[in-house]
Amino acid sequence: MMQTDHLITLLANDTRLGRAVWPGVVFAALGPILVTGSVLLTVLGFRPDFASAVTSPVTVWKWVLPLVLMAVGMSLALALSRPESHPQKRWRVIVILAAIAAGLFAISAGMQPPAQWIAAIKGKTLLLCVSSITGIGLTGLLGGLVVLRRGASTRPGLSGFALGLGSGGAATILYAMHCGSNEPMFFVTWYGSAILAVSLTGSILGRQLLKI
Amino acid sequence: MTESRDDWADLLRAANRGDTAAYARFLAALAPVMRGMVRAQAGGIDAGLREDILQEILLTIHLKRHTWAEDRPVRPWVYAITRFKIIDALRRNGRDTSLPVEDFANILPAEAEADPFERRDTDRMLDQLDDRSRNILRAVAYEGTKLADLGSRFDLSEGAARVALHRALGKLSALRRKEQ
Repeated sequence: MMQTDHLITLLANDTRLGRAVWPGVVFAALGPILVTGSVLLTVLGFRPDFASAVTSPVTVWKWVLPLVLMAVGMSLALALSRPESHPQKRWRVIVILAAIAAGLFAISAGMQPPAQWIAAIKGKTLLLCVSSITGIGLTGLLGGLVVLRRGASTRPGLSGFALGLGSGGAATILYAMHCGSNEPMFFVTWYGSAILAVSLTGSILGRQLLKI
Repeated sequence: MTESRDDWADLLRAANRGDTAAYARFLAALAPVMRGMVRAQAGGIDAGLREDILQEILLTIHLKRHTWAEDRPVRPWVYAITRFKIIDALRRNGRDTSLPVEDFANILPAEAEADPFERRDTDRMLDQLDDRSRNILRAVAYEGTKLADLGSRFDLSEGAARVALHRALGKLSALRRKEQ
């Protein structure tokens, strides 16, 4: 019969320490995204006006928002891999990012007649946009989850969600280099939906894979 | 309790640097406190099952001890894992799972109680392991075999024996999670 004292003897003899989550999770998540994203950019090409788009006050948000999302999402996933952490402040940053995106959407909606809204949201590349960001993001999510299993999250669903936000953000940075849309009603809606799809997948998978 | 709680951090720090004696003391100091917590929070469950929960907590703390950052207090880290595992166990048993954190503040340590059903999950789990993992765990747990001797007994280098023991514990933990 295995007594608790026996178990303690067992544990005390095992001197091997688990491996740290940092920095492996960042490489495991961003590596696949960089590879698949580069393939996509090689096949589809950069938008011709890339240089002016990254400096325009409207389209620059296509990179600023996902860049901050990537950083904060990854940092949240890392923080949550410690069982006792409560990274509330960083969740607030996510809320602010969502608010800025909603603001861009609203301003653009206010600047055109309602009759054009549907067309503005639909754009021309909806399917390519959603499938690319989701697909690229998922490769990072899966890679990151493997390493995140080394951690000890007491909120595994939330950990997966945060990793999904970070991966979705990273995928968006690369896809936005191709995507020629300058319409916030389009990119807020579909970039946002794709990132959310990756995050919700992360939340579901996290609950299964990250449980301690 | 021979160690005050404030020593836990020192013991675990030494343990994470390979001091097995400090680690054995850490676990021995931890177990009665954890047992008291499980009894306080899962009192309606029979003593044997509670001891199973305690063993799961200890195994998890062991396998995840690298997630404690040494510059942070050790108690919130221990309690967070303990709380998670107790809630998880209660949920499996279909009980109320609202556990206020403060309830852990003043828990009396508890000694192991005799198990009237002579039933241990860990034993059942051992049977599901592959032969070598099971034999290694039994040799260390019941016969007090040291790592150096483990190697010669199972025809392994000491390093390989070390890895085999670690993997066997990982498998044990994975089996437990799969059962849930």
